[in-house]
Amino acid sequence: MGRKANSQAVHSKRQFLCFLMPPLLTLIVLFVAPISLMAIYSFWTTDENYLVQQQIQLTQYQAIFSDPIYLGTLVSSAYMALLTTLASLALALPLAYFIVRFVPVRWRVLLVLALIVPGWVSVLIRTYSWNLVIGESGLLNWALGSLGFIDEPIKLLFTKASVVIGLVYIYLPYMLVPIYASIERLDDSVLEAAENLGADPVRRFIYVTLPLIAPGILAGCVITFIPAIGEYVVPNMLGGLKGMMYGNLITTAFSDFNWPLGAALSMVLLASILACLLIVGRFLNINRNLLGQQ
Amino acid sequence: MLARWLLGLFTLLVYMIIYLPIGLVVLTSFNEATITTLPIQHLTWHWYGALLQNAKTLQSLWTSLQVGAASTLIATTLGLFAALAIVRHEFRGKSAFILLTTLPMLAPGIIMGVSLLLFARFVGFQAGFFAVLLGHILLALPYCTFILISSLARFDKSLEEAARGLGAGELGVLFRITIPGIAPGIIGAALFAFTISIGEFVVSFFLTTAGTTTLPIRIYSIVKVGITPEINAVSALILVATLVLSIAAFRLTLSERK
Repeated sequence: MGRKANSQAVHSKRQFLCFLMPPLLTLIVLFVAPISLMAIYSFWTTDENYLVQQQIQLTQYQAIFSDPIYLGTLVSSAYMALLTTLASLALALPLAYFIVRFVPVRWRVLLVLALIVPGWVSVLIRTYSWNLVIGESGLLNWALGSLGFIDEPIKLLFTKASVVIGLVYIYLPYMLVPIYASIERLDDSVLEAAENLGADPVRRFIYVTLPLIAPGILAGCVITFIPAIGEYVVPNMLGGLKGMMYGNLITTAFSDFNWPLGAALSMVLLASILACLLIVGRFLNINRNLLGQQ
Repeated sequence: MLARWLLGLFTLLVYMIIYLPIGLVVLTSFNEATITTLPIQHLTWHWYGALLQNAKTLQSLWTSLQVGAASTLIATTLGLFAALAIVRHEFRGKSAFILLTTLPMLAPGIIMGVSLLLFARFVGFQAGFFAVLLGHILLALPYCTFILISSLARFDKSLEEAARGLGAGELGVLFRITIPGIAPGIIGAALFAFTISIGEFVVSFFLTTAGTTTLPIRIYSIVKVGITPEINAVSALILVATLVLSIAAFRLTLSERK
């Protein structure tokens, strides 16, 4: 009996390794190794013939930190990603609240689906589609023009504003899902208690609902901000020169055959994202400690 | 009551803004005029016909379908393995493995594209079809894994134990009990992987070569030169196909919960 159990354990172990190894190796070869190589690459340099010199130097980082265009663009990308996050939050919060509070259960799934499903259409096409809305001969200018509000078309395309519009459009589902989930999980009895104690709807929302759904809001903000700051397609198609983002600089470095610079720029982006995550994580911890002590 | 109406109106407005641009894409694909202008005067199927004549665009569609099918098959299989290891086994470093599976979802696409390009070049792997394929596998793997983790966690483990008790071998249990039991989840994960692959741009952008452009890359190169109604027609087709696939994926994953 013991022997059988033992052989079964060995068997189970072998089976487990058969399951674990293929995805683990895939992740190591396609993700861990490339990112690690990129980290090393960022310390290399190129000679005048664009040949890579494999010597550890800080040349690329010195270039990045001494030329204001790099850090300036990083800051303005962060600013645009922040605007995107805030605008998405302002859209998602009332929307999710309305769906959960005022829509009958059987319609809810359908309504949420109707918000998420367009998000699965290619980013390229969804970004491009805004050309048809805010472009010079797009819907907005046509509508405003034929109503007589404007004489000349508004030049909204190829500005920071058009990039933020595009980013909000792409990342709104990222914000919606966690916020919707956290509002749906809310315990009705807590709100009823607040109502019975005389809190009006506004106070109920600010003092009861908001603190309870804060983790969902924070999660939504994080998963909107991170991809938005590194976005390449949207600024490339809607941004022009004025709406350039950090991702454009990375691509430019690569098309100029300065791969070590591109690697270093990517590392700076990764480091900034990690820093943001650590700050948010710390903030969460402090919050939890405060709540724990009360 | 007033607040409720205002909120409702706001919700309606957001839905309209979400559907307006993609609706315009479909609408302008039927516009007879060569330059995309409003209002639309005459409707035509012409651009869909022109699309069928365009060898380069058709070639890129074919490439996209091949990459999509292959990456779906591989990513779903790897995702199933990862999910089986995570749900059915306890092991040291499990949370580290789960974190590693999550990370590719969090890193911006451009970082994945750049690092894969550097790595491919460094180990002497040619950019092109297989490089794009590997990139798409990496992008889809986390989503497949997490969809299948939730399927497996809901699947009654005692069925597997019963089959084992009745003398079924491990492979028999896997193929006869577990896989049929979570079939909707597997199909859902596969459709998700396919949707990701068909629409993916940034990673392919770094890993592609002239002969192996995928459809989004082809669309991008045309849009950069100038917007043509033909592009609206391709986009409208992709849009409809994606909507159908995603609704199918969602229905399958939902039906499993009942």
